[in-house]
Amino acid sequence: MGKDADMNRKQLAKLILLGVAVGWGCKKHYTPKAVSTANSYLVVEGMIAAGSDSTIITLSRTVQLTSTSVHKPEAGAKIAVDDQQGGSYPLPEVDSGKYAAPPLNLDNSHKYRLDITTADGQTYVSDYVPVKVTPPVDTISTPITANGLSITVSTHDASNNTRYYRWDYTETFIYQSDIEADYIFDPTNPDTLKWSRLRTPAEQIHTCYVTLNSSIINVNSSAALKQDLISNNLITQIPKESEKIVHRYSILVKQYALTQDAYNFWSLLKSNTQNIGTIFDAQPSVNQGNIHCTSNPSLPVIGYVSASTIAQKRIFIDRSDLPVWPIPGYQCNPDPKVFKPNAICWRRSSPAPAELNAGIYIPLEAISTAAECYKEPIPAFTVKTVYYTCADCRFHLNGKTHKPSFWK
Amino acid sequence: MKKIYFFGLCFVMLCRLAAAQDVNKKTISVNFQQATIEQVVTDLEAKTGYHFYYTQAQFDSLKVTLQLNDKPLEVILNAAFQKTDYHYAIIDQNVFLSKARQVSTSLAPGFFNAQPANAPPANAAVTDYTVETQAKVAEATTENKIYEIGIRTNSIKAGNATLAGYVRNIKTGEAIIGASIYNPDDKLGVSTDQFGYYSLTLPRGRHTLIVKGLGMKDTRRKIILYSDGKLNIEMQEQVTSLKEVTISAEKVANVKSVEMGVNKLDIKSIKQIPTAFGEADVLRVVLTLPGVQSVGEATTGFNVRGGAADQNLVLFNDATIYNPSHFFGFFSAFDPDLVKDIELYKSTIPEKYGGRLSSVLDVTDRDGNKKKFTGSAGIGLLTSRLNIEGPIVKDKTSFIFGGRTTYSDWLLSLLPEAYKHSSASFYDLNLGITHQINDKNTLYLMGYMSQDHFRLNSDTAYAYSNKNANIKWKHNFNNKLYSVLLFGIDHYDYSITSTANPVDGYQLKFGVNQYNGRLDFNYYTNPKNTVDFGISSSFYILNPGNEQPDGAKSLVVPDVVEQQRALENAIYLGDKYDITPKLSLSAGIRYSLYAFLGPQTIDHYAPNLPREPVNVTDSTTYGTNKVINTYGGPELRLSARYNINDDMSLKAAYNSMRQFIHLISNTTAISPTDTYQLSDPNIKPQYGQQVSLGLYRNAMANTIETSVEVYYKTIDNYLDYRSGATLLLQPHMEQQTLNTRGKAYGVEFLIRKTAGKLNGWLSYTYSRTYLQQDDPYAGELINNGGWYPANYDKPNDFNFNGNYRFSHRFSVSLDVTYSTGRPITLPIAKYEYGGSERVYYSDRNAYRIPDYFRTDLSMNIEGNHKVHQLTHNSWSIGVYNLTGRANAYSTFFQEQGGVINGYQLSIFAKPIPFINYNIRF
Repeated sequence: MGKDADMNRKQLAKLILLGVAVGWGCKKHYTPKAVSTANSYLVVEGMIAAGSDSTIITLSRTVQLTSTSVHKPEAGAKIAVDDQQGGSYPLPEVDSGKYAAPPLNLDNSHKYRLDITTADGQTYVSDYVPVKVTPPVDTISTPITANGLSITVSTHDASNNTRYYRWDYTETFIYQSDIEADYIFDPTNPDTLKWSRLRTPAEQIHTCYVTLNSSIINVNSSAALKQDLISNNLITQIPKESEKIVHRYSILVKQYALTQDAYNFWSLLKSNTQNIGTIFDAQPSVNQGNIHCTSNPSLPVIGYVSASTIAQKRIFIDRSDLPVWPIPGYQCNPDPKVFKPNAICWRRSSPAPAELNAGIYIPLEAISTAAECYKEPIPAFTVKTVYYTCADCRFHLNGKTHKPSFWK
Repeated sequence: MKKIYFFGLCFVMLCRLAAAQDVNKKTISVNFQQATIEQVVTDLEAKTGYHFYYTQAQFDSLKVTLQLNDKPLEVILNAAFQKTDYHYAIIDQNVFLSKARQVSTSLAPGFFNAQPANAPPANAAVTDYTVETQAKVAEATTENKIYEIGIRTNSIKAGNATLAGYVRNIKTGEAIIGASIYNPDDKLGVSTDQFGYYSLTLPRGRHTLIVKGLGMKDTRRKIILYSDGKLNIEMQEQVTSLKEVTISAEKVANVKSVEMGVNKLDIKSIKQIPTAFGEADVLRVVLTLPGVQSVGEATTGFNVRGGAADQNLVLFNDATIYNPSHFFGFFSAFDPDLVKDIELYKSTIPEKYGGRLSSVLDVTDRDGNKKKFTGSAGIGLLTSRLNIEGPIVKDKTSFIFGGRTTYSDWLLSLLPEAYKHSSASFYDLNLGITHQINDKNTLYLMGYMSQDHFRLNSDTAYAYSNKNANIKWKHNFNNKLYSVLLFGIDHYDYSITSTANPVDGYQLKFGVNQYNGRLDFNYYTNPKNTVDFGISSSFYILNPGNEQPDGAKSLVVPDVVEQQRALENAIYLGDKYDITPKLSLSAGIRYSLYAFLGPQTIDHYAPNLPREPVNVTDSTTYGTNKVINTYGGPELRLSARYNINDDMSLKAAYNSMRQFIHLISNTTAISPTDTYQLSDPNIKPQYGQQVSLGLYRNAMANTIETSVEVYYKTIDNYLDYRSGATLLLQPHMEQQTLNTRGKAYGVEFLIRKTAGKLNGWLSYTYSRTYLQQDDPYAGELINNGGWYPANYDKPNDFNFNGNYRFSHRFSVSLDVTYSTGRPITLPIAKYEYGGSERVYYSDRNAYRIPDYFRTDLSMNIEGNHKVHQLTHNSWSIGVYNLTGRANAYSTFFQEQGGVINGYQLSIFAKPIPFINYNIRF
């Protein structure tokens, strides 16, 4: 459906371009002032966490459309959570643009807001928002579909008070590099003729734990139902050939109760597609959050701050829990790397071959130069190596080799 | 025949009257059917051996219908001239016929038949002016001649009588629409309707009627109105506009009509305006009228007084045209060689029309030539046209046929590789048949078909088509009352076929059928009052979308959106009343009743919550043609005119309209992938109201018309779209749309020069159109619930169209257009949120694309003007976009390598020369 509409738009655009191609028309750069001005608006992301969770607020700035990077953290701001009764809880900056505080022990019957003073002196406040108590996640189900695995969440609120929900999730899975490199290049080896050694368990790079955060907005509502019940709301889908489920997979689903207003904000953010807008596109609309600049009311602010407790649930899925699906094939082969004779017969004083030293190639065997270097002439020296992405799992999606604390 | 200019005739007659009565005892039999005097005299001379003497010119409007057996000549002549102004005298073997004036009453009683009017019809000879004499009447004679209407009486009775008839083109016999018949003494006037028919009630007695028609030479008729009667008026075409202006104080339609916000253009004015490919374009001209705007250059959708493109009812010979464009808007769907005139109603919309909020564009084709076969052809760079017309039965039945096609593929083959394999073509066919059954009954038959095909680089093919047919039967009950019965079918469909990848080859179809029945009555009750009333019914069957796999390898799963059906009925009554000669009122009411019909499954949404999938509580399935829900209500059409003085008037109008069918478009222009949606329980009909006020003034002997009109209108339940709405193959349209209300206001200035070497118009409009989302439960609020400019809000709009005739054979036209750029929502920044990169948009329509400016020039060169030659030919040569300004058609943003860049696209960014050759035969 969406695909067709998209295709049609493209076809229409093509037709117009046809006029251009005939030579009647022309296409030229269009940079209206509104676009070329550096629109650096404050973006506020995060929520006021009640209960036993930390409150984390991220501040950033919008960037120009022509900018290559979208990440522009806003450092040096003063943030506090204000109580309508006059209490204030500061959130110190823990990283550039990241402001956080341990559990604030908020009163669920009070209303709170965010109070921000940026480094440039502008002040911003959010509307006062009530603390919504998030009901616990009832179940996370993993129904098998034709294409793979679905992960769904179910919840309910017996008091019928929640009605609007948002979820995000964090996935962690074991990823193993295609090739296990037992050896490590080590120029500090006390044996001056040996330049590699076996890895210690702490140095292993074959098995990683990859953690991914959700990047889609997931909201749902039971407002139209007689009961406040969400049944099997789809969280994510994993294709059967996905690397996520080759070994062991875990997902932590976080559930947030929303006000109706917050729900509308997230729904709209979700529907404002990445389409940038041509004459053939449905018109996007500006998304009004609940944060305002008090020092300059005409200054746009992006973001919506709500307050709630957080409910969460983690599950683990092993390969053995799943049907027999084909395992994705390896793409790497050991690469017998030939080093120039004079390059390999270095001594401690000469520089190591750059490719080994920089870790671009990882040795798969012990490198012992003793015998060859005394031959005349010195023969070309072959070391069984592998390109780093094939052996080092840490380069895949920023994997970590140490087991996370929650991993069972 | 013997023609005697016998000045002493009357005297002789007086002397020999008595004798004449007794002489002729011989009896003869006659049978005349609509016989002229020549036929009557020839017959009688043959049968009696008498000689007849008369002046032919005096008898040119006499028609004798008479059947008598074995009667003496006197009886026959008495019967023939009964109730007429004609007389006879028989002297020996000579018969003198005369049209006596003064002498008639003083003659001996009994000489003339003084029978009352109730004589049996078989014997009655009726003078019938509705059929003009077959001998060509000289223009001057026609104008100076006195036509006697009705049953002649010796003295003219007091009171009124009604005169009715048709106004036709003398050359082709076709009806002239909107011609005005005006009696300057009593300041009473009417204009002819779509059939060229008029009915005018006047005080009995002698009058001079002034007759004016668009593109026609003004004429006048002198009449003596005795009683109700008929008078057909034939008008001559204005051959050249070089002729000095005849100063006429009666060119007053602009000032005197009660209607306001009505623009009428004949094909001559339309053809003067240069277009991109040199072919006259009806819709392009509509865009130059005050209060009419479009969103882009190559679009034929137009916006009238702040209304959306789907709020215009485009009628083509009474058939609804859903897509009035060819080639994505580069050409309009109407063949300029057949179109007679167009009328655009922006404010006073006649009560007989309904179903759209903003305007009615009425495009009318000519009737075929009733007298002889003619035709024309035109050759342009991209299109060719041919039309043929002529009588099937002379003076009774005629046809007109036109066809148009493109050969644009040669142009596409010159394109760069990326477009080389594209193809595009269209054609349209028109057929009109007019059959006059008799004096009281006429049949009109029309058929129209248009077809467009595109294939862009061999992957996706588009096709769309209009098909329309209708039959109209016009019946005159009497001079004051007539009816028109119409049955018609309107069809529009499109399809998109893609076979680029055999695995996902698909064909997507949309179609709408509209079956119409209508019965309209027109009743001219008295000179001050005209009533029209009628009923209409339309049955819609709409197939919103049907996607099927195309090709054996295709894995596309069929997707069919449920058919929608609805019945729209209306009943209306309107009355035009002249309260005083200065003040006229027109009031009409139309009651629309709409029913949405099954089969259909309707979703129910939880109250006070957005219409989103999560808020569907349950659904109900209805059977075929079961009434699911109804909407209805009255629509008022009121207007008034007050004449401040002879050439200045003030008018005011109020209109309300309802619209039950919605265009669903994710583009701001009308495009071939748009679908329609019928109102259902979740999508309310649109409702619009407009008040307008205008001041009209004619100057320079009515050759210059000026007007100022202001208006304010409101629109309820106009559909706007949610962000990221998916509209194609959408079974739950209510989940993708938002209800908005609109307000629009503006002031329109028009100066138009209608005659002389220089003619044309200058218009300026200042107008604003705003929308506001007033749907409290929609979930999202556009611009925080505030008013925002509609896509087609273009405050300043200036147009100049001028034509200057240097000679009979050479004229130059210039067209200048300026308007404010269309509003646009701009992406103005980007940021990271919720784990993804997102774009920050400005408020909806907070910015504008650059202003629009264009100048076009064309020269029309006519061949020689000898009347008698095989073919007449003409050339039009010109340049579109003379200044080569790169007007923005569209602006868009593209992401390339993580950077978003803006582009402005112009379609006609250079001067485009064109040439067209036209031939008439």
